[in-house]
Order: sequence, then structure tokens, then C-alpha cells
Amino acid sequence: MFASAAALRSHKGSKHQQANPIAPQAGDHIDLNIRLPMYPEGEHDLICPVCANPTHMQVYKDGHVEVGQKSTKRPSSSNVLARNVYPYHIREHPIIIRERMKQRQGKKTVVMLGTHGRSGPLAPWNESGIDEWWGLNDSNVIFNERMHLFTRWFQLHHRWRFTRRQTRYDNDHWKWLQKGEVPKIYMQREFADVPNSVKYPLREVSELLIGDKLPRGAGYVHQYYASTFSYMLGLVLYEKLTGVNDWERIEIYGCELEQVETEYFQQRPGMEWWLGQCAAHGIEVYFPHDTFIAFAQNVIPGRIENYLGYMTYGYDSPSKAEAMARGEQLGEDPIEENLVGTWEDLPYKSFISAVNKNIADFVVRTNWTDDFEKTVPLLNEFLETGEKDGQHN
Amino acid sequence: MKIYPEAFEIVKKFNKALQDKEFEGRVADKGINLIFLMSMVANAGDGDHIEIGTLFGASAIAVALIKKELGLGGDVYAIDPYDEETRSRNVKMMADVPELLSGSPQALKKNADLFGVKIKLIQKQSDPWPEELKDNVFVSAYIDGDHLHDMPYRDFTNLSERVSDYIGFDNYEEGYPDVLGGVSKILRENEDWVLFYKNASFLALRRRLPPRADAEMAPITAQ
Repeated sequence: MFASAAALRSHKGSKHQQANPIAPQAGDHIDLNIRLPMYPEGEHDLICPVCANPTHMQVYKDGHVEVGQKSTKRPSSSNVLARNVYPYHIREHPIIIRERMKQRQGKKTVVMLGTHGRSGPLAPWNESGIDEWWGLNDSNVIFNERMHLFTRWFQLHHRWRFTRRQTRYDNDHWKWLQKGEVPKIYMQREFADVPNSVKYPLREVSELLIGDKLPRGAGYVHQYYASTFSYMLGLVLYEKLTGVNDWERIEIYGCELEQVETEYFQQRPGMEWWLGQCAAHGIEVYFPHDTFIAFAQNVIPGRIENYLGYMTYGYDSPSKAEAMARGEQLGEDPIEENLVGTWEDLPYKSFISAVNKNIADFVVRTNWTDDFEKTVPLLNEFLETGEKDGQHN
Repeated sequence: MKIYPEAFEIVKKFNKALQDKEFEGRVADKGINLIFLMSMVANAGDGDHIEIGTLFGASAIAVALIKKELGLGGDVYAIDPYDEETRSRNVKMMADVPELLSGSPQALKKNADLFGVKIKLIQKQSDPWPEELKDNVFVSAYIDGDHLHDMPYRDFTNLSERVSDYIGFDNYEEGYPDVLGGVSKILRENEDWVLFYKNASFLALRRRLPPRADAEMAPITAQ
């Protein structure tokens, strides 16, 4: 059972912020009185008696109970891969590695890493041309073996939050922050007990990059940072414009802000605004092939999927086929002649045709069965000649 | 690995140039490894190639020729310090000493000119990695430099993060235990590269493909 009021509050806070599980009552409070059997010391997975969702309970030796956070490291993602296992490295296809290495060549590049299992494991750990690696929050436990690569870290939550135990991935994030493992940790202010903490230049970044560009109503928007990634992008731009670092390319892995969870509906618009700022200031922003960010999506109950049609809304979607499937009326001239294809004459290829072309080339170049009958006799003949001449060992 | 018929013709040209004494220096093992090297480069496709240890330039020139023959884009780079001390140290350690190891940048240029190709020479040690190649990326590479101690492994380490497709080794044979040891260490410790082809004393590593189940790109709908 929830052995203490604090444990129940913790669970309610994380799982029942909006929901009222029982009928409205008069007065300014609701009483919950739930009885559960006493659990023994250790970790237990259980079903919450209020919401019927799976939750986790840790019972300590002294009877103290923590509920709602699991100590096992895993992303809180709806992605199946991330849910079950989160390998820090999945091999990207060599043709994609080749092309992104070429894209990166000679450009001052920062890699930003989030924790989503869809694209996080595709991070370019073993590739050259990366000037800095930036990470955030308690994801250090995921990138454990590669932490030496990271030059900057971002922990922009309040102190009450980052000093908690049992955060999303780490058992003791606060302890890690105090180790000073990363040379610079950007925080809301410098903390004496976080050795490498640096105050994030919030006002400077805001004045320079938001400034008077977002008038609203009778005044102006001063801040638009809906996620930690927004702060990271803001800092890249700030450094570029003030001449601190001439950033030319940002690569983002493990950030999906997949809009099937409330938090990500809150966060994604702000991040996309900052991405637009980066592009406008001459910084290219790279994402893996099927990342959700900077792409249009179709919403299917319980999940989303990338949806090319909405990348050229009106031209490609809603299409006649979609309208017909929905039984909608078609107006005159229902022949779609304005579909947008790829513009092959551009010096930079569409990401879809680049993948298709490269895979086709790869297959043609490397298919050894094509010339097998021709080359094996040639090779045998060459080897025999060499043996006769005493040339091959 | 797909072996390209064009590679045989190129090796024949080399051997004829050697017989006619037009080519300065030597072509190891009558060029058998060049066939595999050129095929590896052809498998890699468009893009730059780099080799460590060039000597008279036979392998670099062969690569340039196969690219030309097949119409593949990309330049050929070569790193060689032409450092007598390193070379004589290698020679002393070798069980089977090749008789001609006194290459020079002049000989490389002369040989490249003979075949009408251009090799971009970086006359430096391969480790630490030359500053002028800091930002370069390559589709293929060939390691035939310092064969001693951990140098084969260090050359691989420097190349592995700059090469997208294939890395070949020369002298993967018993006479060069540090090459054998270096490759074993790579295969044991590096999850991104796989032993792809081995013939004579040539060995090619290829950047490992994703597992088949993950190899397909996520579908992007275009209804």
C-alpha cells in the first residue's frame, strides 16, 4: 500500500494531476482512503488502485516507500524499442553515415543528444568532424561509456527537481552533478556545490534572439523556451552571433517530442521555432532519416507517423484519394496535376531520393554474383600464372 | 566481395611497365593484392580514397586507375613520410625483406605521370593524424604503413571515424604479427566493422550493415 502520505502525494502528482478519479464532492478537498496489502522490502511493480495504470513501488528497510518512479533506466517513451531496451548505439546504414559525413565535412558541428529510443541510438559516436557533444538532464547514465566526449551539459530545472533521487534514468542525479564530470554544466544559476555549473545567459540570449521580434497583443514576448533543447539551440545561436563560436551545423539525435504525450505537445512548438531561427541564421540542422521533429505527421489513435503529404499541404494533401476515402465531394477538374515531386536539378538531393539512389547504387556496385562466372576463372588464371613464376607466397 | 574484371587489365599494365622498366620501384606479389584492393575501392563507389604507406605508389595509382576506368568520382590521397629511419626499422624486423623499399616522392610522381593519374601526397606520419586532412572523409582506405607494434591498429583508429565504407590491410600474414594482432584487436573490440574479405595477404573490413530487421527505413507515408 502507499505507506505514507508523501508516497501517495508523489504518485498522485506524477500520475493524477488532471484526473479526478471520484465523483465531485462539496468542499475544497477530496479524501482518498485506499487499503492495499503491505509489501515486503524491495521493488514491486503494481497496478495503481486509482487509475489502474502500472506503477512502481520501492519499499526500503526502514519502511519508507517511494512510488511512481522506477530505478531501472529507461526512457518514458511510447516507442516500442525504447520501452523495452535502450541500447546506446544502433548501427546506422553505411550509406547514411557516408552522406552525413560528407554533409558535415568542414563545418563546425555540435551534436545534441536526447534520450528517445527512436533516434538516440543512431548517434554518430564513431565519426569525425564533430566539434562538441552536448547532453542534458540525467541522460549521463545512458551514455555512460561515452561521457568523455561531452563538452557541455544542460540542467535547467529548479534545484528541488535536480536534487531529487530516482529521476527518470538515474538513481542519484544530484550526486552526479556534484562530480563535475562534464567541463560545463549550464544551469539557472551557478551553484557552489555543482563544480562546473555555469549560469545560462537567459537574458542575453533572449534579448539578442527574441528581442522585439515577437510582438504580441500590447507588447512583446520575452521568452520562448518550451524545452531544454530550446535553451541549447538558443545558446548555439547566441554564440554564433556574438562571435564566440562560428557554429555551422547542429545534429540532433534522440529528440522526438512525439506528440502522443502531453509534455511533448507543450514542448515541440517552441523547439521548432528555435530550429527555424537556426536555419535563418545559416546553421543547418540535421536529423536522422525518420525523426519526427521538423517533419509533418499524421495522427493515428495512440501514435503518430511521419506524413510526407503534409510537407506540401494543399499540393499533395488532402489528396483526391483521401477525399474519396472519406466520401467527400469532389469539385470540378478532379485531376490532380499540381503534385510536388522532388526537384532533381537541385545540387542537394531530396532525402528520400538520396536514400533510394544510394541503396540502388550500393546493390549494383557490390553484387558479386553478377560477374562471378567471369571473374573466378580470371582470378584462377592469375593465381596459377603467379605460382608458375614463383611470385605469390 | 565483387571482383572487378577491369582490375586484372590494370595489373597487367603494371606488370608490363615493370618488365619494360618504365615503372620505378616494385609492385608487391606481382600485383595480386592490387586486384582485391581495386575491387574494394570499386565496391565503395564515388568518393575519396586514402592510403597510408605509399612507397613507389603502385597501390595508389592502381586505385586512381580503377576509379578512372569505372568513372567513379573522388580523389586519391596518400600519406607517407618517406622517412628512412621508420622504413629501415620496419625492414630490420621483417622476416622476408623486400629488396626495394627506397621509394621517394619523386618516384611516386614519375610513376603517377606514367599512368596519367594524380595522387595527393601528404608527406607526414600517419599518427598523429595530419592536420591538413582533419576534416576530410573517405569512402575507402588502405593501410600499408608502419607494420610494427600498435601502428596498424592506430592507423585503423585514425581512419575508422573518417571512412564510411571499406578499410583494407596489406600484409595480413604470419610474417607481420603486429598486423595480425592489430586486426584481431579491431574485430574483437570494434562493433562497427566486420571482416569482409580476405585473399592472399589482402584483407578488407567493411562498415557493418544494420541487422536486416532494422535495415529498412521507417516508412514515410505519401498517401
